[in-house]
Amino acid sequence: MEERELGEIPSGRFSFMHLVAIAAIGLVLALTAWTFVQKRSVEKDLLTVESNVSDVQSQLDALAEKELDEVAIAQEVISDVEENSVVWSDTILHLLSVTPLDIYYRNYSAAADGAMSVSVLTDSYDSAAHLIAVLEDDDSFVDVFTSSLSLGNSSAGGDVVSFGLTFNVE
Amino acid sequence: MASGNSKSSLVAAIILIVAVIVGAFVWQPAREQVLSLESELVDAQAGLVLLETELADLVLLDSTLPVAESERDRILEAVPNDLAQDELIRDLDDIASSVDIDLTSMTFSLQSVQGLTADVVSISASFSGLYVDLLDLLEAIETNDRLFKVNSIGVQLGDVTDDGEQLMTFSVTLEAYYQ
Repeated sequence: MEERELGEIPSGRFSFMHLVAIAAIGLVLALTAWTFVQKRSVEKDLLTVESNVSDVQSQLDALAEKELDEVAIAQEVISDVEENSVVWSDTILHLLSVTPLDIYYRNYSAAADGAMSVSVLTDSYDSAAHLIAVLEDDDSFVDVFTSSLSLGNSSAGGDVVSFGLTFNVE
Repeated sequence: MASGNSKSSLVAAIILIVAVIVGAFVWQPAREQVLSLESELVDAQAGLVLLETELADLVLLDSTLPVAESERDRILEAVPNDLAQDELIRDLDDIASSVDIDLTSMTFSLQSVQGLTADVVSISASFSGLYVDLLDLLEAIETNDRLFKVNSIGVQLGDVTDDGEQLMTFSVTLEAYYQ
């Protein structure tokens, strides 16, 4: 009887297998609980981020209604045009105001870069020279030049000097 | 004693099986859900950062633009969002009428100007009328609500009327802009 008892594996209430099983179920339950806590936390963060996205999107929509990009481009174009344009109404008014009374412009033309050419009639070479001097003295006009002048007769019998004049508007 | 041992082992085995079942069917799916949600969160945060950057840029842009709504409307009227050729035709016709000058012709061509953020429509227009109205015509063009850039002008003086008024033909090349 004593030999038999000594040969058996001792078995208590908690064997090693029980310990492993309990540890395993404990670990799984702990991991599961932690995962659900994590899930709840991530869901909460996600809701917060989605709410922020919604807020920012609303603000963007409100700004989009203001057509900011379009206004910015339009403003840039307006500034560019204002900086690089000649106000021809002012320029022509100024040209006519400094032009001597014995000068008659038959035609004139102007380009965007400020280059201007006029076709002129007057009654003497002196008047032609005076016009050139007047324009040269004026700060608004530079590079005043005529390539040729010619003398003719008017239908009334008087002298007519005709010439073309080019200059640049400052 | 052997029966007690078997029973005890069975309980341990059942606990292990329950642990495996819980692990496989509860914990694992929940973990996958968490990973999926975390990935979604990262994407949402990245999207939020992009939107916040865009918002910051727009707020900065907004602060550099005129505050008054009327001024912004005026700017957009000067350089509208589309060609609006009908408005261009009406504008030129109205300008000519307002200064008692005849608008004899107008031609349009679409252009692309390098370095300019807006599109360009080039307009050549011819007018005829009294020379004294030339400056009013030019001013009306320059102050039109729709922005016009005068690229070139040509004035040809003609006959004098019985009333002693000088006639002229006037040609102008303009640029108008749209987005």
